[in-house]
Amino acid sequence: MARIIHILTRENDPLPASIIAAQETTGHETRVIDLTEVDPNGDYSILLEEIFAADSVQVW
Amino acid sequence: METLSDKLKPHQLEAKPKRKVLIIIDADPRTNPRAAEAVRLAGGVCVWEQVEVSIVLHHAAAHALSEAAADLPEGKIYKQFLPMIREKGGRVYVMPDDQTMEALDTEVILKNHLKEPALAELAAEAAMVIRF
Repeated sequence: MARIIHILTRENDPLPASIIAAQETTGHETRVIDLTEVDPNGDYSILLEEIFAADSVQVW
Repeated sequence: METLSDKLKPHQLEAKPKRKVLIIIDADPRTNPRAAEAVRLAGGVCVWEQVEVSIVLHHAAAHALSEAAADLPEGKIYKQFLPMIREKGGRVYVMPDDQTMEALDTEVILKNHLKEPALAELAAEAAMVIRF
C-alpha cells in the first residue's frame, strides 16, 4: 500500500475529500496538509519531510 | 558484481518502470485557458518519455473531448495534444457532470469514463497528482 501525502490548496473542496476517503478504505496510508490553514510564514520543513517520505504526492 | 556504471547502461534504464503522473483538469475549456495549458503541459511532458502521463477531464473539462471541441478557444491544442498523450502510452479519462455528459458522444464516454473509486486508485498509483 502506498504512503500518500495530500496537499490541499482550495477551501471546502469535495473532490480530494472523497478521494482520500476512498484511498483510506482500500488501505493506503494518507497524510493531509491543508495549506489554506497554514500561515505563509509557517514552518514548511514538515511539508518537505512528508513530500520526500511519500510514495505519491497529490496536490489539490 | 554489478557496478554503478553497469546500472547506468541504457538497457537497465529501459527496464525500470516509468513513474506515473496524473493530471486532473477541472477548468472549463469554454471559458478558462487553464484547461488548454494543462493539456499542453501534459503533452510536453509525455514527449519526454521519462514518465507516464494520464489526464482526467473532470466535470466541465470534459468538453475538451466533445464534438464541438475544435470550436473551443484553444481547440487546436486539444486536437494536437490529447492524441499525443495516448500515443505515448498515457490515458485520457473523462468524469463529466450531468450537463457536460450531454455534450459528449456516447462512444467517448464508454471508452474513457472513470468512476470515483477508480480515480482514487489511479491517483494512489501515481507518483504525482497535479490539478488544474
